[in-house]
Amino acid sequence: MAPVGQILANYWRKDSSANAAIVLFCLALIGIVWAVTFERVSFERDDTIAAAAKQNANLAIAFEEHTIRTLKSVDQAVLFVKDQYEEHGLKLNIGRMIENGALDASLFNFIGITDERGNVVLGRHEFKPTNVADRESFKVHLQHNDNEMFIGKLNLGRITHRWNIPVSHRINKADGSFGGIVYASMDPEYFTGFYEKADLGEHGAISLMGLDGIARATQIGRKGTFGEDMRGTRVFEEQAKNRIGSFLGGGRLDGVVRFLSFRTLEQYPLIVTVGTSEADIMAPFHERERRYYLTAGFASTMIVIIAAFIMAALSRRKRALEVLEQSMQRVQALSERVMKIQREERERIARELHDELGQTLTALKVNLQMLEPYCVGGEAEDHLTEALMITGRSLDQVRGMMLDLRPLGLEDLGLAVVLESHLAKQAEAAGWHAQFEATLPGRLHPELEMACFRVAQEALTNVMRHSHAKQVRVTLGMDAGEVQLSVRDDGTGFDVAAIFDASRTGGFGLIGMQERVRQLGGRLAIHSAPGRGTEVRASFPCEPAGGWEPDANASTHA
Amino acid sequence: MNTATIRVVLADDHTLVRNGIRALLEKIQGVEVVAEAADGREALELIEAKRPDVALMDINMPGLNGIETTANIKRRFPETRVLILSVHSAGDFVSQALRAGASGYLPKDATPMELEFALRAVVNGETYLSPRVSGDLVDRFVRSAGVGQSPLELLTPRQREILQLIAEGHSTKQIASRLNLSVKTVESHRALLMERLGIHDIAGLALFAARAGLVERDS
Repeated sequence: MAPVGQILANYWRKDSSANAAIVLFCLALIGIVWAVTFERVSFERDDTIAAAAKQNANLAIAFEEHTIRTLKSVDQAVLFVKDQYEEHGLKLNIGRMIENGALDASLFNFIGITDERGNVVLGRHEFKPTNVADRESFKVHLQHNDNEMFIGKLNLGRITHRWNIPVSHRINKADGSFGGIVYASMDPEYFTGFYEKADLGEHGAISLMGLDGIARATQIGRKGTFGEDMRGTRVFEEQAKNRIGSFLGGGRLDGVVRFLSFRTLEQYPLIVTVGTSEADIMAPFHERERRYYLTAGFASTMIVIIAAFIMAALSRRKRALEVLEQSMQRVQALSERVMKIQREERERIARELHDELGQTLTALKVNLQMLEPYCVGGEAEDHLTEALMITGRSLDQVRGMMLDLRPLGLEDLGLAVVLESHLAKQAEAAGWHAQFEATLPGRLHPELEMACFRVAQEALTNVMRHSHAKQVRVTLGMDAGEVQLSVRDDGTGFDVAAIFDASRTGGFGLIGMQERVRQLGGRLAIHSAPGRGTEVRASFPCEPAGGWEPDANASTHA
Repeated sequence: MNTATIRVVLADDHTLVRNGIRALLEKIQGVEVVAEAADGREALELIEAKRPDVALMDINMPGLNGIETTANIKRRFPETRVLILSVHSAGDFVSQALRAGASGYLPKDATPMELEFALRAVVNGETYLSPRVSGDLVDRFVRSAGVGQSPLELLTPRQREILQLIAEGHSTKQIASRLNLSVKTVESHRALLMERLGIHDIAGLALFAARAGLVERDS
């Protein structure tokens, strides 16, 4: 197969309107495919983002609750210890409380109590003498006489030697003056443990941040951090506007863009933030998106290929049709030439029959008749009679042959006269009741007259041979600029299709008639059915499409 | 009847036929062929020059055919009568010729007798149509023209005899044995007389014979 492009180029030249239609259709189809694809991708992206935002917001709620629960548990523990301390004083044994199960120690690394000077006086386990008067918590409680829990910034524990989030309450002496603090050192992981439970994926992030902008606990992916100054981050900016919110951003710490949802806690000066990696969330969507684009691309390619095949096939078919058309034209030209040669040959023979043989026989008869007065009676008359009869029969034969070859008088007297004469003769021979009606305004082109006569002659011959008709009607007229010839009988009729089929291989009559009519651009219709009679109807344009051949039917005279 | 010589111009494009017809015409008392033409135009020139009584005219001629020539003659030389002599015998040729102004119509192989009848008829201003010219139209014209001659005169005595025997109901075989002829010869005679009378069946012959008074009409 030639390259598709070349076929397309050829085809385009040959039939641009069909091509334009095919190309436009393909473009429209491809356009639809891509429009649907983009629409789908866009919908799924929005859907995915919306789902991610919702999930994130829910995670933020869960993280908030986890944080509140954790803080409340710790607060309870701290308040319980404070309560016990106020009752038992320095006799209180926190280690035993934990062993007894009265105090759940899983929430903190250390819990302890200081006196009013910041010296740690009680602890969950043995410790070196330690002073925490310089710590933020101590200072806050010293200044504010209230019963609020204070959540401090991260600090490195002097007893635990680990990074802790201090959670504390003020202790008042019986007179209401400052008596120290009770504090619990919470491991930041108590909060970030949520990360594992919530399954935030490989690049998820959670963060617990104070309203002061300092991160208490942060976990990004596998990595936990704390203490960062978060002022100036997007979360901090957004939180200033709304207590709750979601956005796409981040990446300041590790370059990962995330869907982030933050919530500001009611009871505590804390902000929780949950982030899920945009890449993680969007990965399945991007995979689907990639598949959609691949499918659309594949469909587009297939459409183009199919269109190319259709166009190539149409082009081949068109070429085949052209070749067929050409060979049909050649056959037709050949058939026309054969008929022209046949016509000319017939005319030549007819001329010779009439000019030579016919006239010779006529002269012979005239001369023989001149003998009559000398031969009255007797054997001479008998022989003369015989000779006249022989001559007469020969003349009849010559006339019969001439009529077959070229109707006598067609040129001189015209179609109507000759056709009526022929019909009358046939009617007399066959015993028909014949009707003839001619309403032509004048003479027709000689070739047209000849064709009409031949068709009528053939039709009448068929009527005589096959139909057993009693009545025959021949009409010749002009209708809508066409010459109309009709030969109708009331005979036995026949199955038109069957006769045509037989005719194709055998007899020549109907096919010959049809060919003769077709050559002049006319139509032949045969209406018949067994028992219903027959009508042969031929219509000719007054002038064939290509005009008349100038040398057609060159005038010949008898 | 006009006793003066009938002057005739003969127009036929076939020399043999023309010669035959001229020979035939020359046999007829009081008929003179003053000129011969091979086509319509020549005929017109000769008629202009000779002013004949009758133009004997073929239909099929090159250049100007007999019917157009006839129309021309009637327009320019109305005193010249036109008698058509043609191989065509169908009614429409005849009616065309008559419409063009011809006074008579004969087959080309007319007998000398018929030719003479026809010439005299047209010269007398009558219309002559050969019995062999078929069709209703002919009957119509024959009746209207009131031709005086009986078609019987177109037959030889032998043919009249055979016609009578046929009309009387004798078979060909009977006629043959009565006249001492072969059956074939009788058949030839019968065919020829039928051709001359323009009658195509035995019943027609019997009717004609009865009309012509050749036999008694039964019932």
